[in-house]
Amino acid sequence: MVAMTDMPGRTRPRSRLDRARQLHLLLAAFLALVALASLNVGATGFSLLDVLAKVLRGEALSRTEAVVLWDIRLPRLAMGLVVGAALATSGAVMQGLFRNPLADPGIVGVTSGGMLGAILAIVLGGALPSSLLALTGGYLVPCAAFLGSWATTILLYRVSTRAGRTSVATMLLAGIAFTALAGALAGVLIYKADDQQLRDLTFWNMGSLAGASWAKLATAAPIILTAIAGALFLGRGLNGLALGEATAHHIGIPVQRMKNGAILAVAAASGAAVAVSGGIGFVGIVVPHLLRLITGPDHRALLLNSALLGAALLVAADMIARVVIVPAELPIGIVTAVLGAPVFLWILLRQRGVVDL
Amino acid sequence: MLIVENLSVTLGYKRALTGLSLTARPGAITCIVGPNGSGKTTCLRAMTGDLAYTGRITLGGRDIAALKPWELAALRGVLPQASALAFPFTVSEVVQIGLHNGTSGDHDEITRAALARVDLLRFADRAYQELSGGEQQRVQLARVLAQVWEPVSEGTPRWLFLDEPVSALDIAHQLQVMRIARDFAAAGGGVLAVMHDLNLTAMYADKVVLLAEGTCLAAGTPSEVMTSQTLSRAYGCALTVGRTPPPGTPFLLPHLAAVAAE
Repeated sequence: MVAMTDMPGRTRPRSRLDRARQLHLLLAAFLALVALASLNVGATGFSLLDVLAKVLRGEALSRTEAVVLWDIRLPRLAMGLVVGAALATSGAVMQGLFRNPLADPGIVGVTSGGMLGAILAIVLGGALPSSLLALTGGYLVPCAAFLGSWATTILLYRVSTRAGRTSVATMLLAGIAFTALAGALAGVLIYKADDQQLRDLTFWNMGSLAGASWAKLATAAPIILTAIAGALFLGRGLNGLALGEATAHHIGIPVQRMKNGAILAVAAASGAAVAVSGGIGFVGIVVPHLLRLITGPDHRALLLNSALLGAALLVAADMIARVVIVPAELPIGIVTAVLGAPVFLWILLRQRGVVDL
Repeated sequence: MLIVENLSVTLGYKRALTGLSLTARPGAITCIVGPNGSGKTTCLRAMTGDLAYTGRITLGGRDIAALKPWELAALRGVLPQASALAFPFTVSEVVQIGLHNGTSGDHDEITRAALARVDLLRFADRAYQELSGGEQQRVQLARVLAQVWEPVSEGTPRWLFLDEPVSALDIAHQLQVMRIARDFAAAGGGVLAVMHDLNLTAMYADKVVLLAEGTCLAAGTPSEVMTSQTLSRAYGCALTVGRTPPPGTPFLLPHLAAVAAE
């Protein structure tokens, strides 16, 4: 905060937007660094440097090395990047749309719908005809989660849209009601579940990138990347919305079209992210909040910065999840919560009384 | 010209406006006055394209129902009665958001000029949420001014729609805001303001539209509309209009109504 008395006679400080745009490069560099570090570590214990040295000397990689690098570490890294970017960008868009720094994709029902879908698939999946099971293979749970996310979002959207206008407040309240209902249904299913199913469920709920494969990535990444690319165009509209819906309209923003776009982008990005990685919390709230503190709330830069920082932090969290209890690994949701929650609390305490969120 | 023909608005089950017609011309300040619930703000919100209505509203010959939000934004700025800001934007950032579809040119220059106009340039880098209510209202006015910075653009007059622009201000800033509106009109722009303060209305309005129960009770110059009889009928209270020495601006002493009631 610049004190009033500092102002006259001083050259004007560079605007926060300029600084936020410089941060793009910094975050991209950080992201590259984290990505390299993530390729470097793993349970098998050989490093990227060894591999590079081998390649430079013209030696062939051993079969283990090739498999670990190409089929395990790389797809997992790529998945971490897109999922992290999806969660953080969705969070930033939701917060802008609901004009509330605590909003996250969970609010529009994406998470609870996805969870219900996953639980249905895990508990009742065995009852499906075997021909259908063979067709879906290992994709039954992610598919069900994605469908659940989408069905919920569309339902909530329909409930809160009257005469072509979507009430953001109604959507928020309906989302709370739906989350309660989904929780109850999930409770019934959990009551019915056997031990193995319960274990699957718990792990899915805590989130993990362990199942990452090129095939999964090929389905999720196009959806997520398209949604993020679309979301990057919402910056000006979300800035206008910060002044209220009526004022946004007065300054020339097609408000309803923008809301449609934002909800579509969030449902697609976080629906796909939930489907492939389960319930990973905190990234969507902490990342945009942190960036707002550093470079201000201007969405024109915030959205891209969120995508970059979200991707970097999730890959870093996954790296920690993979190495702390080698050879086993922690669910990544535990890492993001353990690291994210105290940081978030610290930020809140430091900010307390200075300025309203 | 702003032409409103046979405007009706229904809010929920309540008919808020019934067959209202009025005109306002650029180069003048038109004030809409009337008691609480008479439909002033509803009328303004219909004219800014925020409410569904029946009837016809044209701005400079163009039907506003057919204009896109960004086309409307280039024609008129709207100052709402109250506005809450989400997220800690600074004062100058708030004004810049208003430039989204307004004037082209050097945005930073216009932002600073608009803030200087409302006497708040020294707060440019402060957080908006730290300002007092009256200061926030003036920042919003600066935002609206920046959006339609030139009162006439390529021969087309632009408009300011102000919803109770002086409600949260001290007397010095009330006068300042009314002078800004006056200057905007003098430069060829149109000003339409919903007003509660009848004395400021009498001082600054070129035309007064008096609403009561969702319809127009009287319209004309302040001297024509603001008579003891008409105002007493509209507000349901015994009011006595006085006159200043020439130019003879009408004024009201609320004290006289109190005397009449006893």
